[in-house]
Amino acid sequence: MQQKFEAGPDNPFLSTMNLELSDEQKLLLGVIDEACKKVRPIEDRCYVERRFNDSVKPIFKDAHLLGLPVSTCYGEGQGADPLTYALALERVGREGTGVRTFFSGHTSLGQLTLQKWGNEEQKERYLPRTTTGDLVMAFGLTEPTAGSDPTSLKTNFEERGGNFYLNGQKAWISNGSIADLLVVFAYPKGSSSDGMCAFLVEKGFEGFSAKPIKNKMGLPTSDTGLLYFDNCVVPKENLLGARGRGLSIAYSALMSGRLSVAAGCVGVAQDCLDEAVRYSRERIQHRKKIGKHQLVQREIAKISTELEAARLLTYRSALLKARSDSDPKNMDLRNEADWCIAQAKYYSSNASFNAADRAIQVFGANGYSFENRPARHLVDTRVCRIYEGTDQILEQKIAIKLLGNEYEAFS
Amino acid sequence: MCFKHVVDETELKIDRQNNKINFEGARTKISDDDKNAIEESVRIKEKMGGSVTALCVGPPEAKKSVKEALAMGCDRARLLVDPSFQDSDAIATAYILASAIKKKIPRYDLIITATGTTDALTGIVGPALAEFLGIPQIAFASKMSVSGNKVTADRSVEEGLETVEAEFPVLVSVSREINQPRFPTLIQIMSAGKKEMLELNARALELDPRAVGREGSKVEVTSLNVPKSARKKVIFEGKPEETASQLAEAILKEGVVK
Amino acid sequence: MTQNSSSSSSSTVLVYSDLPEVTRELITLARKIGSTNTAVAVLGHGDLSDQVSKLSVEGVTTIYEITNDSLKDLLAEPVVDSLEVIFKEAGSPKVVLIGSTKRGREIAPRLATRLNIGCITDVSNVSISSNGVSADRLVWGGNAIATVSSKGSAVLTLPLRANEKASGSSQPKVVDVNATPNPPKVRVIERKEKPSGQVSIKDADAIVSAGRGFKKKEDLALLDPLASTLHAVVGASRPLTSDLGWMPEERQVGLSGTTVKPKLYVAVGISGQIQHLTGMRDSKLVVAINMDKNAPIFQECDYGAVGDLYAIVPELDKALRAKLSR
Repeated sequence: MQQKFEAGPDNPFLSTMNLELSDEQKLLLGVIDEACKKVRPIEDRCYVERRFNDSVKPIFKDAHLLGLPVSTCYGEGQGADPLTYALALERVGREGTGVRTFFSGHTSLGQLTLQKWGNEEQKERYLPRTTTGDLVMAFGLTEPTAGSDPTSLKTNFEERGGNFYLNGQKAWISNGSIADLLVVFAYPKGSSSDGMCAFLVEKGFEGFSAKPIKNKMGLPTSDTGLLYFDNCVVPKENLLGARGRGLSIAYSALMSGRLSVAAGCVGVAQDCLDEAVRYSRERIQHRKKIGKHQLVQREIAKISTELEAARLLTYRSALLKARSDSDPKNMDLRNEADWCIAQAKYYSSNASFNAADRAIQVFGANGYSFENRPARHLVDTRVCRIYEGTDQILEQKIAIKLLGNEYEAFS
Repeated sequence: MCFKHVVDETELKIDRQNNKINFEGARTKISDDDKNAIEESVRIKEKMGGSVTALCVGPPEAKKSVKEALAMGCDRARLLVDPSFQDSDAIATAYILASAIKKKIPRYDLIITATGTTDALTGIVGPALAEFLGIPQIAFASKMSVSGNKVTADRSVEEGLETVEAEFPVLVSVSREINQPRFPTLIQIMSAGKKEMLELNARALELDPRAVGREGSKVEVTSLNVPKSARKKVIFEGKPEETASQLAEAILKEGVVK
Repeated sequence: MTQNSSSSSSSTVLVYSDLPEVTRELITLARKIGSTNTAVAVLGHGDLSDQVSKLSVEGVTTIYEITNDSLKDLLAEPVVDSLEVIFKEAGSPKVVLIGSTKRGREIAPRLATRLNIGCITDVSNVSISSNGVSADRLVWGGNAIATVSSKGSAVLTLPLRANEKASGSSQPKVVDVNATPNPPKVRVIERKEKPSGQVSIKDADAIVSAGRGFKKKEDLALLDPLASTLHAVVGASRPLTSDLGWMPEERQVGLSGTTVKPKLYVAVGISGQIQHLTGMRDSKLVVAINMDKNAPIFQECDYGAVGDLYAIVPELDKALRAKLSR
């Protein structure tokens, strides 16, 4: 006999996909919100003066947010799962891509890489201090001649006595010139295609220097550095992970990095939407609030819809990453997470750029000023379609997952 | 310690033209200065041992603020909630708190509150609570310390600062400058859910229903208005020398400069 | 519970403050709201005749005096005990006015609770009706005015400097009240006076305030010549004190800082958020200088100049000096 039931919460066929925030996540977001409110006026000021915002670290240190997803075994690590961490980055992203990029460099690419690949001694030595802000981290992979193609990097290392000696240059490194501890990738000297290794380089090591990159299109309040290795002395205990595993380490780090970009871009799109809505309710032209003009409504609808899609895609990738993290040997799960994250980053970075562009249009002439938020978001978030995997690299990656590796363009 | 769950006054939309306040979409929070009170309570516990019970008279939604107080370090919480409590004025609210303390908290040394809340800013609950309990109060404390069975505190008065002391039990209402409230860590947020949080209603508190709610309140708000601006709003634009000159003339004409 | 509605007490107003200057402000208000019998409570220890004569000003009909060692430091418990006795002696008046000093704010709610009557704090626009008392007060961070009414008698606290101090002289009936207030359970161990010579924004007649329009801490010096010309004290909005720490907290004007009522308030580079406005809203004349034509401050000023403060401030000082021929 067919079971009769009514539609509603007791429906036995109701499948569960709970996208509600838990009370705890709401509380955490409340804490982050307060920290963000403190950062905002200082970020405003630093932005128009085009200078580095050094209040980010101390404010977020007070809020215990400098090691949110790091294991609780290390210093002030909070042990947050990938989704909670993504929610945090989304909120931070609303303040600006520059503020969020600090965390992408320090936490996603820095701390999480050290935590995953470091041996216990290295983790004990460094991780706790990275969670208190004593050590700021950065990730040094990209070089002037190696961006989308990390295998063409030229930084190399030699081994002599008990040390490694690194020579080369890195460019476009988030937190590069403020970092105390960097994850640096290099090939063995003489071999430019095999045996890439990762190293933990301290700012104070002999032969290391860094300086900030000038004249960036955007991100004026965030540090992006040029790194120089001139026979830089790295003790042998600072080899990160096994020899020759550098490329795998880099790719796995990029998963965290990309997810952080996706989350941050969701925040950017949200801020652009909030600004566009607010402005539409205040601005009057043709004797009425511009929110009553249909073509303005259309811009808002487009921002909102892309934002919602970006958000859900990002949350889903975070959940997949969480599953993969708890089952690290499962390659299928890892590849699925990798693929979903790539889509999330690809989609969100474009959604945020479109959102900023549309918000500028809603603002009209006022949109053409850095004193208003959409213009800042536009120039800042533009980099999100480039770093951590360009749109083009990600498009290929997404397609190859479906077509099969034999379809790889550069093999 | 006692705190209040309030509507965030910074999120209200004020419509001066139409004399309206829009509460729609405004979030709620623990009143700002109450966070200083929670922080001070937790600091004292961390230094001297003991435990902190957080009390809040509020609607069911206040549970989220109760969790936040627990996350900040309070050991347990009591949410005093009942439909009959609605529309209670400040003194009636103090009566509810006093009943909870008398009936459900057999022993206490210190009660810590803030000086006022961000919504109504009455500043009445602290002193009224002390009066209901028949205990002394130290108000506007900008610094406090506990040793043995007594409290020593700096409290501000018009002439300056008075250092006072009193033996337990005593109620201390703290001012904002006493500390910087902590941000709870995620771990503390997660463990808040495991701490004891009890909801107590009018019956559990055995209080006199005529002493609470609208009936029990001697004071009520009869209207809420948005102050209209009576300013002249004469604005000068143009070159700095010109606007400055016009401004100077206007100021002097008003006769406010000697 | 005493709700005496006999006509003799319905126009009696009892006033008290720990500071005699404030008591004189309360006496003025009592007259304003229709008191025909203003009673003043004088509390302390030892010989109080000096205070009694200071408060024998126009409008005062009775002075109730309690002198007792317990009242030495005017701590809350003995003061409330004393005021309770005086309240009954005065025939349970409908209104008790207490100045909103720190001590007053602690005492008023305790007294109201003791007497089982209403309490309304920081009031303006007070009026007495047959049912009770009603008054206005600021709520919601200063965004709104609530009109509050009491059923029956009430204790009200008055913001300081909201009324003129009553003066003149009178021959009030002085009643030496027999009472033994309980000794306080709080003890004063030490007193630290506010260092004199310290600038007090609260009492300044003119204030020039700085906001986030200033780019650097060093630029604040730009205001000094103007402040000097206007005989003004320099204040600041919250971002400059709390967030950036460019000026000490005592200079902060606003809801969480100090509320000021100068004759002249010049807001320089201040946008005009409500938390700031609440702090200076009662200024007699408000002048604003800001780069942003749409800044909220321009809705709350009498005269404003749109432009770069770095250019306007020196020009304004120059123009003022010229016109004042200084």
